[in-house]
Amino acid sequence: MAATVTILEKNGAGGTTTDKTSGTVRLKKADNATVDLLNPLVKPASGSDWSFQKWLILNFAGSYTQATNLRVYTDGSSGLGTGINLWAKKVTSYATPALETASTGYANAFTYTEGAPLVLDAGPVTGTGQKGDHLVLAAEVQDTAAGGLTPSETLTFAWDEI
Amino acid sequence: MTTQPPVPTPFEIREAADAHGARVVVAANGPPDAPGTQVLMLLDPAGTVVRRRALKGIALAPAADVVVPMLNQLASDIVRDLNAGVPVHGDQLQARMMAIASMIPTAKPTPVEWCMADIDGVRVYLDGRNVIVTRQDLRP
Repeated sequence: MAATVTILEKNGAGGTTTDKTSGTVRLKKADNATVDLLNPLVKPASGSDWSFQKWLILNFAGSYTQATNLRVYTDGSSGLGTGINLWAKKVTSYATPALETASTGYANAFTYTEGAPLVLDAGPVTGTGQKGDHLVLAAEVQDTAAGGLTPSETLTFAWDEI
Repeated sequence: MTTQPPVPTPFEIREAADAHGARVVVAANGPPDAPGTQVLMLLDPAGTVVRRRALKGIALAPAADVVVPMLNQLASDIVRDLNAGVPVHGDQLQARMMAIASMIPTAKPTPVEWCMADIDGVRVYLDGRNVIVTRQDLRP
């Protein structure tokens, strides 16, 4: 049998999970999984405005033998426009999402592509539950950005399984 | 109106024995004799077979993100025209509403189900329709 794999967003001190497999991940200036237009990032007069971190992780359910090469990547091309950056990193242990202030420790999310993904766990991983490292995202809006809603970008989570 | 492509079926991998009793690995994405089922058989003990799976397109924008600003603009235009004494024609409103409706994103994140066999770096990929043979490490 194949595993049932979902993508969970984790919020709050307790890591409350929300299934985002078929949904939208909204980077905002609040730590919640709600997809709305509240708490938007505001184009600053100077410098940058940052979002809260967004913590995502793969969750395995059902019956399978093992999974390897857990990874995540983008299409390699940012459509967010001038002055808007999406930063990504992996973290093993969950921590309460923080309001980000700098890109220290992150890499440009669009540098992670199919050929050069962010490896969340080489594996093998077995059993049910959350597996691999967390993908942590943060958005930055600089003073050079244009106002208004930005185009969405997509992520791909991939893994090998037997 | 757009429709979603069918959700692909994961490949199921199992061990079997060939006619001579030797171990083979069989991967199939459906019943063996069903139309459209792809079956991969690995006969070499040194080879490997895995499912290569993905969830593609996470974080797509919801419909409201696209539609709400346009509806707001339409509402503003109607109020502006009415205040200016400009007639608001029903056929023009209908045309703008239909244009907005045509921009609603309907694509959802999709699962990808591949099967991959590897013998000494030569890989065979099956995706439910196509067979690709290469040494490249392909990802969905």
